[in-house]
Amino acid sequence: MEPVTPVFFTTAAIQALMPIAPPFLFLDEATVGPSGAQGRYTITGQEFFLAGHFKGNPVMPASVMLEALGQLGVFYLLTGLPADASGGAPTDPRTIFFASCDGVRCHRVCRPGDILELSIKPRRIKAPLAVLEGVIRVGGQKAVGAEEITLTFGPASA
Amino acid sequence: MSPPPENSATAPDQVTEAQLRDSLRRCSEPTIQAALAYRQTKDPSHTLPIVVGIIERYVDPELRSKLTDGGEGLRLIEDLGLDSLTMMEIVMLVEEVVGLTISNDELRGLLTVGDIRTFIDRKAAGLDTTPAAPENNQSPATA
Repeated sequence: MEPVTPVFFTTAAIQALMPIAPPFLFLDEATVGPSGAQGRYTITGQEFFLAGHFKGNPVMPASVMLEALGQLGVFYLLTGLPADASGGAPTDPRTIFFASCDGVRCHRVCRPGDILELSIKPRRIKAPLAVLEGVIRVGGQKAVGAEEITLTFGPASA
Repeated sequence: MSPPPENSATAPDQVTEAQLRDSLRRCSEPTIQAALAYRQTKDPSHTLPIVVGIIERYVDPELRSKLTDGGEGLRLIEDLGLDSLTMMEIVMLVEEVVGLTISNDELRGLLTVGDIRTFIDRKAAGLDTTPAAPENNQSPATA
């Protein structure tokens, strides 16, 4: 699939396509276009790990923020990957894994009620690797930046 | 309304210094300088510092000194501890910086730092770059 104009996906559509499910899915909605993807996730306060991170002081873990960006990257690989980058075959959701990341910085603490505005854009894609750049903003303010998130992906077997 | 195709393949000659610096932003300044010089002159003397500088970025910091002392015979997997995915990350960045494409078949023939340097020089000069694989005589499909 290679959308020419950005395509919007609802929570239900995302859950149907993603290999990840609640309680570890951090993507409520997404828009995927030729030059990348944008998504949103509202921190509800009901996330299981917030009961302990931190004691009596719920703060979204930085690792989960990076996970959320990676998940948007997974969704981009499933719905927005240009045919010339994927080798023509659709991506098998079960083949996508995290490979590496570089240049990750957290600029702002995120708490229940915050709406994470996620965005990723491809830097280099050549099967089986995709190098993406990611940013999370809250209310327009930069919360997390990742210079490079690298995911591996493979084609669906015939 | 579609956004500008900022991520589409850019013709080698249209790569700006800013783009090169962005691609190499986690590499040393000498690497960036070598890449800028190579882009302007295509002088093969710059390819070794580019390749070594890009590999350096991905090598475990504890093994980086080997890269400085080791020369072109250094083996990417055995000596520098690179795994196949990291090799591909290196190749992707080398491709972007020098403006060449390296197929996965060709990648299999690159075992040492010198192999990558020789490969780029031959490819840039338009020479045959088929890996000297002893078993496999089938010519790889060029992408």
